[in-house]
Amino acid sequence: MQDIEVPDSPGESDQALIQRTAAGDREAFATLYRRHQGAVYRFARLMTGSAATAEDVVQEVFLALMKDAARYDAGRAALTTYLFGMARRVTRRRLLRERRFVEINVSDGALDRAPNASEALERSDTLQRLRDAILSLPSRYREVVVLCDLEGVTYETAAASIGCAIGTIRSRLHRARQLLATKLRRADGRCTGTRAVMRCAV
Amino acid sequence: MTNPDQNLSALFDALRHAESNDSAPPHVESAVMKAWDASHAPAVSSVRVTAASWVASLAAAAVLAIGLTVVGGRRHQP
Repeated sequence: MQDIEVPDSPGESDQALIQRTAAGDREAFATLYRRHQGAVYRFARLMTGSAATAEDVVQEVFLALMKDAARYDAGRAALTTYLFGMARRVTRRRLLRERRFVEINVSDGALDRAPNASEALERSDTLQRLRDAILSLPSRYREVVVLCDLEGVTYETAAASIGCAIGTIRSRLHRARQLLATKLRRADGRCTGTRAVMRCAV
Repeated sequence: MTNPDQNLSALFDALRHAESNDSAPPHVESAVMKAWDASHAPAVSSVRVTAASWVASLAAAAVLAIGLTVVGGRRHQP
């Protein structure tokens, strides 16, 4: 399993960029932002089901990094660990504060469409059902699925970000996948076009 | 028959691929960098205020000292 990808791969390590950020280098901070914001955004959006909340989370996480850069100790944790840990805390706080109701589409859209609907739409529906199933998981399972199965972080990084043992990550992931498989099977069996509003488990 | 684990794994791959380019919109970067600029701006205005306050205090003290000297001098005159 690989750690998250570095899309711009400018060659300069996170540690070097953090040091320059701590010294007040604007460009170094901007490079860190561009390198990692996508992963933080996707994590927050899959955790909350809301693009607007995910934007707020990204902003809050990087403002925290800006303030913590001088105190950040690369020897203790990788930057991805810090960022996902911070994103997790901010996301949980937001969900608790807002007692968010996440709109979850539980319809099986295939029955609402013409039989010759395009493959792309079907695929889009399938992915939406997966997103909805992930959102309906309790947060302790949701976060490991998003981190390990979707963002591709290592079990070690996930454990450090969440603050638990690697064994806990493994067992939660196992349970989360079982729950997801069950939910997806149920969703496949549904034939109504109703939408349900469900409380996002925090 | 498809293995449920393989099916789930394939779905994860598809979702990861579909969302691989998702990122925060540009206005978020603007807001973050604006916050950076605000927190790293040189504190010119506060220096100016401090210097102006110091000059004003000095001037007030000088006026007060001169005033007291003048008043005191008059009181001592016969």
